[in-house]
Amino acid sequence: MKKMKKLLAILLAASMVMMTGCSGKQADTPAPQPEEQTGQEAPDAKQGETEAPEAGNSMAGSKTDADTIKIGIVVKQAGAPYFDYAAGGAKKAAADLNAEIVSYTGPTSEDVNQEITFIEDLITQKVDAILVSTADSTAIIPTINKAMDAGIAVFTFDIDAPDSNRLFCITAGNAEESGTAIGESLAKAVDGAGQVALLTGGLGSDTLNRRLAAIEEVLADYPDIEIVATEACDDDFEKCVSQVENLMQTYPELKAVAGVSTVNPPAAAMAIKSAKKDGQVISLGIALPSQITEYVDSGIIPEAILWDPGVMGYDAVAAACDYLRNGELPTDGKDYGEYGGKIVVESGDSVAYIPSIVFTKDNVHDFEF
Amino acid sequence: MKNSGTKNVRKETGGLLDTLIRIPEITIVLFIVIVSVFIGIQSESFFTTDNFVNISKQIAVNGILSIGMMLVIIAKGVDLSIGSVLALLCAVTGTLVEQNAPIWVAFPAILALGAFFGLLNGILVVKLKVAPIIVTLGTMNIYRGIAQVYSGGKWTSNLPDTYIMWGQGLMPICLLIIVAILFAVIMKYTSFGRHVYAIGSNEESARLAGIRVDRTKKIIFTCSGLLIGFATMVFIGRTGVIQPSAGTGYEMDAIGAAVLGGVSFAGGKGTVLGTVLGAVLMGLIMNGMTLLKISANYQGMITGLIIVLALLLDTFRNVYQGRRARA
Repeated sequence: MKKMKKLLAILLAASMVMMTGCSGKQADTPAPQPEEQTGQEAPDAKQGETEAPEAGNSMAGSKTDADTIKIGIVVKQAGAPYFDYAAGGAKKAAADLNAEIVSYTGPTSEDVNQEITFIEDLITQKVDAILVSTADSTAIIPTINKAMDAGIAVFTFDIDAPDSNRLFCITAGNAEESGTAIGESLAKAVDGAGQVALLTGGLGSDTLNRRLAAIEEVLADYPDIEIVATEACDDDFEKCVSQVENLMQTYPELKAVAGVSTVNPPAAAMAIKSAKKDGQVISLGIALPSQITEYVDSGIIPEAILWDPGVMGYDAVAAACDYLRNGELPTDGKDYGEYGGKIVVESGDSVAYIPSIVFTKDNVHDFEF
Repeated sequence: MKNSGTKNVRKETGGLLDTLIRIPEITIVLFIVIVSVFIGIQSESFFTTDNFVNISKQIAVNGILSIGMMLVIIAKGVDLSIGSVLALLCAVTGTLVEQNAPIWVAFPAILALGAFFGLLNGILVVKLKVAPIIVTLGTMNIYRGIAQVYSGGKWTSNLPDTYIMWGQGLMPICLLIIVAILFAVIMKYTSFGRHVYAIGSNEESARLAGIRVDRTKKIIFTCSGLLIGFATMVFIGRTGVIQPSAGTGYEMDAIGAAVLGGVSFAGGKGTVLGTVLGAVLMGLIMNGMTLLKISANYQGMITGLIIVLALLLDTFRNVYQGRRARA
């Protein structure tokens, strides 16, 4: 009996380790990760804002346009295409804004301890700014604060560490902004009339619900578009395929389905393809380019919404330069130029969202994430 | 004369009811009929060939998985790792696709690998002498973790048609039927099948009767793993992509189908036919939810209610049958 209890304890412990391991891993899919934190961030944001300028008083506006700003980038997984694009965008911004990316590093697989080492190296090198996408929003806090205390402007991007003293987070996937983009893409695709259905991952996700609400708001301006159903697949790909099959069976006039979770558009496209309804029904929504190329090429997915991580890297560098030269943190509607676009900042929040972009046949092959 | 005549008639009707009620699958059949008629009356899309093909595709993965689950539950165990094994097999298939492995290599390889993971479960259960629910809770997380690490969370898409075909048209239901008949025969006519029931009814007596319990248990888990291999091929064919996060929660659907089909957690009881019918009922409910235009917010609740109702009816049948037997 004692033996069994011991074993049970070990097994449970092992399974817990695995579980946390898994949840950390899921951050690989960039889509739902950054936004989900926004809900919890709200109360912390104020705290961040009051503390941050204090810590950074000396650095705000400390540089002139002539000074080259030295920036170090630490990502949670170096070599992942997603972050390579982000680094590419950052380099582009550096060239535009007289900055230098002195290093772009990260562990080969997500490991916050290695990230901490990389940041400490950057502190020793006395860079002007550090951009971090963390593998662990909690464990990284002391290191971020240490860098801030050392007079380095720290910005998080993609994945935030809201409880740290970091100045601002540049991320993607604002629910309202992306939902509106999907709604507009949907209305355009069905020419403003016809039956459409919406698909979501889980009913419990605040981000996805806000995204759905934003789509509905856009479609409210189109009286001839009827939303016949909203189905939730619990982010189960096969269940989503089944639901779309059933939707097409129930609504023979269905013209389009739009999904707010990255699982939805490829699953819907697969259902359309196997029912041989290509040309009759289309699939749209939030999706990762690499997961939908075949359907975009065949026309089942005419366009999809996501963001370009390059823009995220670009805007993060732009925000850091702006802060160090002019002492300004990002504000709502701030325009970072043709490539960087206009960011969205919710009032009282220290998170800036980059604008969504539309993927079509023309550019879907340019991205490998 | 007249008197005895009526007596005879009464006896006969009683006999018919008795025979019916003795069929273990009768409640699930009754429920399938009720649910079908209910959906059919309200939706004209229901009784159509297209819809039945859809349903057949939608139940295949769960149907195949639940036969494996049935085996384990009959032997008084449970296998919580099946969804994770499916994910791991998906991840391996991803590599095979990338290496351009032809399907006649990939399919048997996935079956063999599934059987191997199942065997590992079986060995752990037998050697550690720990309840299967605990062992497979552990392996559930281990297999899922390996799948994540192995694949790096990446999806594989643009699969060749030879992989897709297993999930298209009538292929899924054909595979399900083949597997079901195979295991129905095994359970009924082989000594292995009888041993499974014997172990579930009373493991100690089975051991004393000379049944090699440990060996049988290993085979049971191996079979479950083999079936996950089949299910994986259908799953990949249906989804058209390979994703390492696949199959989360599938163990619960498989348990649901088995239990609905009359498989008892007390062990020693259950049939392949009942289990497959359980999967059919679950598929019908899901299909009906969309056809009847029920809001997503209520779907989970209604599914749960129908399952509880079906189980209640089955309990009544058992109680009634028990009373008749005693009388």
